[in-house]
Amino acid sequence: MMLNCQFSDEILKTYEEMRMGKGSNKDKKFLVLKMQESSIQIDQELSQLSSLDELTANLPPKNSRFICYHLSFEMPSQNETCQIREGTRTKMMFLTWCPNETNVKEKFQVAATVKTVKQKLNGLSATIHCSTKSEIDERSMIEKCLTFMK
Amino acid sequence: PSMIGRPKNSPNAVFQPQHEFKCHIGEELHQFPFRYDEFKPIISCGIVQDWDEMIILLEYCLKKVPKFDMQEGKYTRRVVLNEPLLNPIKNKQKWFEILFEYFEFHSLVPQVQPLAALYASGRTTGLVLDVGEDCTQILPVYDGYALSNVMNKMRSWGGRVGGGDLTKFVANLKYESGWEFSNSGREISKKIKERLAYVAPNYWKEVELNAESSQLSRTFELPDKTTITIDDLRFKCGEVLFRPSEFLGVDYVDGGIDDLLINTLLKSPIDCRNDFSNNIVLCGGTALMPGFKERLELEVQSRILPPHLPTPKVNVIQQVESSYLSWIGGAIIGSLGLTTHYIFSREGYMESGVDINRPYSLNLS
Repeated sequence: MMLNCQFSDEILKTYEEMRMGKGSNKDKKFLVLKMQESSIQIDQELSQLSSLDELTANLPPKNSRFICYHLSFEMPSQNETCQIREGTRTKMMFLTWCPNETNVKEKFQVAATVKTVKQKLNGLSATIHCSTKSEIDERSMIEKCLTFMK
Repeated sequence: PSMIGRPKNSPNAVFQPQHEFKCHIGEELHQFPFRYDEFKPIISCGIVQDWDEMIILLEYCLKKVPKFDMQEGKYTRRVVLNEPLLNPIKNKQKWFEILFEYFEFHSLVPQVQPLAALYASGRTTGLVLDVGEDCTQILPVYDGYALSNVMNKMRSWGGRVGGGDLTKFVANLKYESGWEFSNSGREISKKIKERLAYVAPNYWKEVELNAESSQLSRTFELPDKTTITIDDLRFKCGEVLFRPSEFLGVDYVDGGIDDLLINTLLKSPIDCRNDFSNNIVLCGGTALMPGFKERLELEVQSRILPPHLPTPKVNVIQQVESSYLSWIGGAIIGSLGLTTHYIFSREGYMESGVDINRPYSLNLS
């Protein structure tokens, strides 16, 4: 099931700049999208934030958001004794924020547009559905990334 | 409820139905529960038993839809058919026949219930456990694609476990302890189940606690104002779901609801298991029973260990609207202009007949 929605080029441009580390948005950590009557727009306020904790504190309690998060982490070394560092890796994570208090219609719209959004933005490595703030957790994201990076 | 009752031949005109259908339908039955020869469930396990009654029910429902004119509406409206898992093809073809030939609707979107429920909970990945009135079904979905080889229904040689079986169980136990209800017994048992039953985290501890003290017993008021005390029935009723073979005396091949859930988790690919165990979505009225969610979490956590489940974290999602979740999901599919692969138009049906759905008999995404 897919729901078509209006998707502006501005989002694509920002996303690409963020992913490739070029242009004016290269240092951004987040790209937060919100849905307004079948069109998708950037939530400017939330996109300015710089850490995951700040984001979780500021998420709306009754509305849904799509979050693209530029995750960067230290690759854990393969064997314990080796002192050589593996270096940092970066991945684009896709989170959907959909708390239980959202009304059912909006929830459905979120679920139906996830695929549309993911088709437009390429290079997303993993999707996580979050309904409580404790689910937005950097460690579990890293674990998830490690399952397919070998 | 999808039920039809025909009044007994009584001279008293009060009990005669007011509208042209000559029978009482759905909620109307509750007004005069003693006056019918029998309650007739039209749909059992998602399969329509009596199509003539089904047409009456549908016509009655369509009359109740606001701003819907049968004459002009039927050629333009699209219908969402919310069907159970593993719907027999005969049943489905008959639906096509009735909706296109008798009602002449414009187009039809078939959709499986658990998938609609999952979308209505705002996810595209998850394991849907639908514990309904007369059937229990389970479906894992990854990123919008249903893993149809893993889906399951709770089966036995006698029937399927669901809320209706619990009601019957309550009625039987009350009968054993000396209470005999007449015609309205089903309704009373249902009320006892809905108000007092719960699922115990540990069944044997609850039995001991009940033997020692009377803190678990509650009173229930019957319609004739006498009260009865209910104690062990409260947690036994919930336990039926987890050990149906023992309590219902029928051989359930798949075991209880926890076995069903765990088997489904273990049958699905190992990379998906974590996503499924983190997003177990409950739907259906019986799933709202107190303690049900906690018990499921406990069972899964204690019985699936690494390496079968890479990170043992279990999260069961229970929502307030969960009893109608699949219905709500279907309603939203109808109201949003969703693009699905499966929209069957009336012209197409007239062209090729019931075989139009042959290639799509398992439409799951």
